[in-house]
Amino acid sequence: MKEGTVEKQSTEAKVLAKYGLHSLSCFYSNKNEPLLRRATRVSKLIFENTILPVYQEKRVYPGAGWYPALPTDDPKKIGMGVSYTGHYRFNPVTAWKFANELDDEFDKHIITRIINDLTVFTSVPCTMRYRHGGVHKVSNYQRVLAEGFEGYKKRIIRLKKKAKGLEQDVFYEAMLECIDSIIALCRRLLGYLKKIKLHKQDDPILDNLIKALEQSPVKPARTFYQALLATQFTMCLTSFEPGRIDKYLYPYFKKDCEEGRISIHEADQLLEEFLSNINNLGGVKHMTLGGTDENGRPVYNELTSLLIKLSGKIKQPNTSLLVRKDMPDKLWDIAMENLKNGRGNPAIINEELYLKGLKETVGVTNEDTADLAFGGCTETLIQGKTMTDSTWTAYNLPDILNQSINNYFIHLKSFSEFYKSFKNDIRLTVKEMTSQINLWQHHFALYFPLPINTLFTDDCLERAIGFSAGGCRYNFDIVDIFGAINVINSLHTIKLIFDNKLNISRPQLLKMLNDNFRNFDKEYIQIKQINKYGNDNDEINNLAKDLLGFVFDEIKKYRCWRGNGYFLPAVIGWTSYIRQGKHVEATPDGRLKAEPLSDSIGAVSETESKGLTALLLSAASIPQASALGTCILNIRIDGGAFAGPDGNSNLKALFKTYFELGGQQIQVNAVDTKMLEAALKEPKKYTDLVVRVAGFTDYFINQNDKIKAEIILRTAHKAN
Amino acid sequence: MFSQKENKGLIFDIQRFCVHDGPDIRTTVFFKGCPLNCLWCHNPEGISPRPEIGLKNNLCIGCGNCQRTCANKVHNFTDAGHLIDRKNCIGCGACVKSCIGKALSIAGKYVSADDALKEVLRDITFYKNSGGGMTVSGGEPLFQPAFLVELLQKAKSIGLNCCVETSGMAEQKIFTEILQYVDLFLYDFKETNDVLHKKYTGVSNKKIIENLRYIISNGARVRLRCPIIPGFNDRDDHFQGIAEIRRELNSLEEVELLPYNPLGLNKYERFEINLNHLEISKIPDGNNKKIWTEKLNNYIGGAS
Ligand code: SF4
Ligand code: SF4
Repeated sequence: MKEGTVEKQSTEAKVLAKYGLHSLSCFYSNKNEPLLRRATRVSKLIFENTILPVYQEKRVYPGAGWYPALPTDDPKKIGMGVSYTGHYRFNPVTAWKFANELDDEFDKHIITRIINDLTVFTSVPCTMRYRHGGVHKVSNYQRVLAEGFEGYKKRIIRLKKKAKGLEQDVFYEAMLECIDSIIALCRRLLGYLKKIKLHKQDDPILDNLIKALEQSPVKPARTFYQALLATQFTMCLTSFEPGRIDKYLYPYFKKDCEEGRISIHEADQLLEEFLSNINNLGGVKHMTLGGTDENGRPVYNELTSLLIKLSGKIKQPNTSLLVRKDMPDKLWDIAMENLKNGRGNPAIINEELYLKGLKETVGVTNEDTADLAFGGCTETLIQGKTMTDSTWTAYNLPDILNQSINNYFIHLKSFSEFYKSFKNDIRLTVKEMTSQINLWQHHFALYFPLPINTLFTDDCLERAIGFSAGGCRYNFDIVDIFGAINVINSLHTIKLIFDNKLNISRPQLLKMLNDNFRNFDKEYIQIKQINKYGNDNDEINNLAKDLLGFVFDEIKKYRCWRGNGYFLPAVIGWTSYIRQGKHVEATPDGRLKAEPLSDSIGAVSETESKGLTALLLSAASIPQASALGTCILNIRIDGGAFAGPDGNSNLKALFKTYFELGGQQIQVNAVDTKMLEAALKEPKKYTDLVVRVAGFTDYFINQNDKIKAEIILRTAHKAN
Repeated sequence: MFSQKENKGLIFDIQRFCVHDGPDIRTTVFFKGCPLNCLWCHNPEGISPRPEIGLKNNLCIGCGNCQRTCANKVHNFTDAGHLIDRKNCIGCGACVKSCIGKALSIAGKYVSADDALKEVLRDITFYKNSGGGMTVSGGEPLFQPAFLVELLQKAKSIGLNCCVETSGMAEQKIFTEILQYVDLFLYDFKETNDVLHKKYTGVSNKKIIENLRYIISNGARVRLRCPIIPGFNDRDDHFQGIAEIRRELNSLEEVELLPYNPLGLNKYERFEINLNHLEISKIPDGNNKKIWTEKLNNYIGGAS
C-alpha cells in the first residue's frame, strides 16, 4: 500500500496508518487544509490502489466500476473510512469496539476523537418528523464527451490562473489533483487491458476496447462506441444515472451511421450491455428519453426507440419518456407494448408542463430546460448542472392532521374553522421543516465536499464552489409529501361529521381514532363506505385542489440555503410510504394505526370504483403544475383491456387527456399472474385491481372464485 | 312494454371507461329490460324491466338492518341463510342504503336523460382525444323508446358520438326515429335457424333480420356481433347463415364473432336468476375463435 502524497503527516494520520486505516489517514494527513482538498487526496489514493474490474470479454467496460474505498475501510471490520467520492464509511458499532479494545492510551484517545468527528460528519440535524432522503445527480456527460478529461484539465489550469485569493487557489489545486488522478486511473485501466492482450491475441472485443479507450474519455470522443465508454467510465465515477442518453449520444451514432461504422443492431447490443451494467448494480437509477433539445426540436430518434424497447427488458434504470404533442406514433406504440406486457418502463411524462414550470418558476434558462432529466425515482433535475436533494424531508401530512385533530376538533364549531386551523398548522410546520432542511444543507456543505461531483457538475468549477456548497448552476430540494390522499379523504370525513351527515359525533370520532376503530365496527364500516378520492367527485376534487395547492404554495414560499435554490414539492412516496405510516395512528379516512400511507396521487386501495377515467380526472384536480418535484400517478391495468386493435390508441388517448388536464406523469403497472394470485389470497389488498371480464372490465374482487381462477388462467396464457 | 316513470328511464349501470362497447373510450349506459331471454346472457340483471335487489352473500354480515328497514318483508333470515322474497320487493332501495356490509345492491334506478347525460359527459375530454363517446346498451335500449330518443337526441345535439347496442328486437318505427342520431349500431345476430332462435332466446329472428335490412338500406353504419356458444350455435349452417347476411348486406362494417365467455356468471347468483339457464361444458379459447373466423371467411369468400 502506497502512502498518501504528503510527507509530513498529522498525528491522526500516523495513528490511523498504524492500524491500516489508510483512506482516513490520508484524509487527516493535513488538518489545516479545507475538507475538499483533503477529500481529493483520498480520491487520488484510492484511484491509485483500487482493484480494477476484471475484463470479462464485455464491450462496455468497466461495468460496475471499482470498489469505492480501500479494502481496509471495510465497514464490517473497523468501519472507518472515506470513499473516493468524499463520502464517509462509518460503522459506529465496529469503530467503538475497535477503539475500546486498543491498549495504547494515546492511540485510543486519538481514535476516539476521530470517531467523534465522523459522528459529527454523518449526523443529520433534522428531527425524525421530517427526516428522509438522499442525493441525486446526473453528471455532465455531454461535456465529458466533447472536452475529454484533458479538456477539463486545461480548463481548470486556465481557471486557476485567474483564481482570486487563497481559497480559490486551493480549490483549483484540489480539482487539478482530482482530474489528474482520474486521468491516471484511465491510463492504469488501459495498461491493465494491454497486459491482458499479451495473452489474448485473438480478441477483437479487447482490441476495440483498447483502441477506443486510447482516445476517450481522456480525449474527446469521436465515435459512438468511444462516447458510450466515456459515459460508462464517468458514470462509474459518479452516480450511474445516465440521464438523457438518447440526446447526447445521438450525434455520435448519426455520424458513425453516415460513415458506415455502426449498424443499428450493433448499437442495440452495446446499449443493452450498458443498461444491464446499471441493472446489475441494483439501487434506484433513472434514464430519461425523448423530449426537446436546445433548439426546441424533438429528440425522437433511432436510439430513443431502441432504448424504450430495452427499458422493457430491465428493472433498472427506471425510465421516463418525455412526451411532446408531436411524439411519433411509432414511439407511442413501442412504449405501449412495454406497458401492456407488464414492464413498468417507461413512465410517461408531460414534458411541456415541466419546461414551462422550470422556466417560469425556478429560473432555469430556456437552453437549460433541454437538459431536463430525472434521478432516482423521478426527482427533477437539469442534467450536469444540478444538485437535487431527494427529499431530505418527508412531509408527513397525516401526522400533522392528527395533531390538528387533537388540538381543534372538539372545540371548533364548523368545518371551515377546523380547516383554517389545520392550514395554520401546515404553515407553521412547513416553515419549521424548511429551516431544518436548510440547516442540514449547511451541514452537508461543511462536511461533504464531494470532489468528483464538483468536477462533473456545472458551474462548480467556474464558481470555485463545491457541489454540496451551492456551486451547481441549479439547486433543488424535492419535498416529498406523504399521505396526501389519506388527508384528503380524512378531511372529507371530518366535513361530513361537522355537517352531521354521519351518525358519528366528534367525540366519538376522536375515541375511534384513539382506539384504532376497535369496538366501533358499525361506524368503521360507515367511514369506509364514504365516497373517497379517485372517483371524480366534485366535492372531493375541490378539496384535493385546495389542500394540495395550499401545501405546494407554502413549501414554495421558502428558498434553499444551498445556492439560494428552490424547494420543489412532490408526491412520490417511493417505498417509504410504508415506513412513514408506521408511527401514525389511525386516520379519519379509515386507515388503521401503523398501516402504510397513501402512495402517489392514486386512489387508496379499496376506495376506487369508477374506473380509470374517473381516477385521472380526480388526479388532474390536483394543481400539479405547481409541484415540479413530480406528482407520481401509479395506475394498474390489465394488459388484456388494451389488447384489441384500438388498444394502443385508447391508452394513448388516456395519457394525452390526462396531460391536457394538467397531469404530469403516469406509470403503469399491468396486471400479471403473480399479482392476481396474490389478490386471490389477500383480496382486501387488491380491491382496486381492474381486469377484463366478459365484454367489460371489472374489479377482480367482484368475481366469484371460479371466475377468478379463469382470469388467472387467461392472463397466464397471454404471458406466453 | 312497461310505462316509464315521469319521463325517466330505468337503467342498471353507467359504466365509464368502456373500451369494448364500440370504438375508442366510451361510457356505456345500460338500459334495463329486454324482450329476449338468451340462455347465455352475460348481463342477466338487464332482462327484467323492474329494479332488482342483488346480494353478495360473502359480504353480508347478518346485521339484520335490511330486514328492519324493509316494509315489505322481503329479507328473511333462516337456517338456510339470508333469503330474499323477490316477488314482494318494490325496488325502493331502502334496504340497500341501510346495508352496512355493502352486500346489497340494486340493479335498476330511474334517471332523467339529463342526469344520465351529465354523468356521460364527465369523460368528454377523453372522447375528444380518442374519438369515443356514449354507447347505449342493455338489456335492450329500444325497449324504452321515449327515453332512448330523448337521450340520443340530447347527446347528438352536443356532438357526442353515439353507439347503440341492440338485439334488433323492436318495432321498425323506433329504428326510424333513432337512425338520425346513431353513429354506429352494434347489432346482435344470434341464430340462423328460427326454431332454435326461439328456443335459445324466446323470440323469432324474423323481425330482427328485417330490421337489420331496414336500417342498412337506410344508410346506418352497422357492426354485426355474433355470440358463438359451443354446443349451441357453433354449427356450420349458422356460420353459413351469417355469411349469407354478410354477402347480402355488403355495407355491413364488420362481422365480429364473440366466443362465449362464462365470466358474467356470478351475476346469476347475486340476483338469483335461474342458474340452469345454461350448462356449458366447453369454454372457447383463442384457438376456437380462429377456427370459427376462418370457417366464416371461407363461407363468405366461397360464394363470391
Ligand atoms: S328494495 Fe325496498 S322493497 Fe325491496 S327489499 Fe329493499 S327495502 Fe324491501
Ligand atoms: S343489511 Fe346488509 S349486511 Fe346487514 S343483513 Fe342485510 S344484507 Fe347483510
